[in-house]
Amino acid sequence: MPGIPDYPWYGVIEGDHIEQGDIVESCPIFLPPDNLVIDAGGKPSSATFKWKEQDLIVMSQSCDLVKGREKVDDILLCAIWRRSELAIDPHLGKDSGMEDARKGRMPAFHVLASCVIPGFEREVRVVDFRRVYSLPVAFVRSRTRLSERLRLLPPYREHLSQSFARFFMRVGLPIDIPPFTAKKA
Amino acid sequence: MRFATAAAVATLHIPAIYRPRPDEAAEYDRQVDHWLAQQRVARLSDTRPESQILSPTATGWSPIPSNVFADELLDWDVAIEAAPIRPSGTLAARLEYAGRATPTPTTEPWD
Repeated sequence: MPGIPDYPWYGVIEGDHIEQGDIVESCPIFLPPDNLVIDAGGKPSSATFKWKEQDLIVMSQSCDLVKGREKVDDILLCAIWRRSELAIDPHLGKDSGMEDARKGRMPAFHVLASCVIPGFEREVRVVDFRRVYSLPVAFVRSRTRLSERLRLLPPYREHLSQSFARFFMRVGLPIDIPPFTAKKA
Repeated sequence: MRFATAAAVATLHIPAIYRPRPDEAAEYDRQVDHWLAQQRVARLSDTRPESQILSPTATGWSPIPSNVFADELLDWDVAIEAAPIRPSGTLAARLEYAGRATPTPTTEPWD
């Protein structure tokens, strides 16, 4: 439409310069055994870790991830799910639940638009703020060198970051003020 | 030196607090409002009951309290209880102690 600037949701990125909003698909995350016991300073020990594949989105600030001037050792990432993967979810499996998430009524989730870039067609996805991971910067960089990836672009990136902050800083009051409801006649 | 005594105090004449008549009070209020308007000063409060002050007075507003509160529209507790199944496996790892973690030196504290 003439006169309306084009604000695409995604761009396709190549290389290992990572920014907030980069989507790292099929990235392994590692889960130590629940009963892992290690002895600091002792002999090397062995353990069996579980790993699982996860689509992730970078939540760390881009300024902390500048290559060669990193200010963090690990990158903060959140899980993202394809909408079709949530088909059996009691909330997000329904259109009404997705609509609630889209409107921001479920602060634990953030909805990402579908992508129609040729070769990167993706359905609507949901960022899950309850599943947060960290991985070493070098490890994620090595993953990003393997293939091109999608990057969430401004202002959608900042919108995501703000949603995460809102969820993370939530405060539950132990004793809330009773609701101001109308008295029954 | 003079000392006040109870008897002396009892004879002090204390004028009654002046209370304007209702019609005078209205005129004073009108004059004050006129002066405030000239000074572009708004009253921050008045003597109405709080419920009236806080209630919307614009015509056309529904006097019936809304049964929907914005905060109640948010569901903070909803979660994906059962995560979708993704490829997974196990990994045999050999753990070597790399020493206690050390903080990264701060070079640009405000950057």
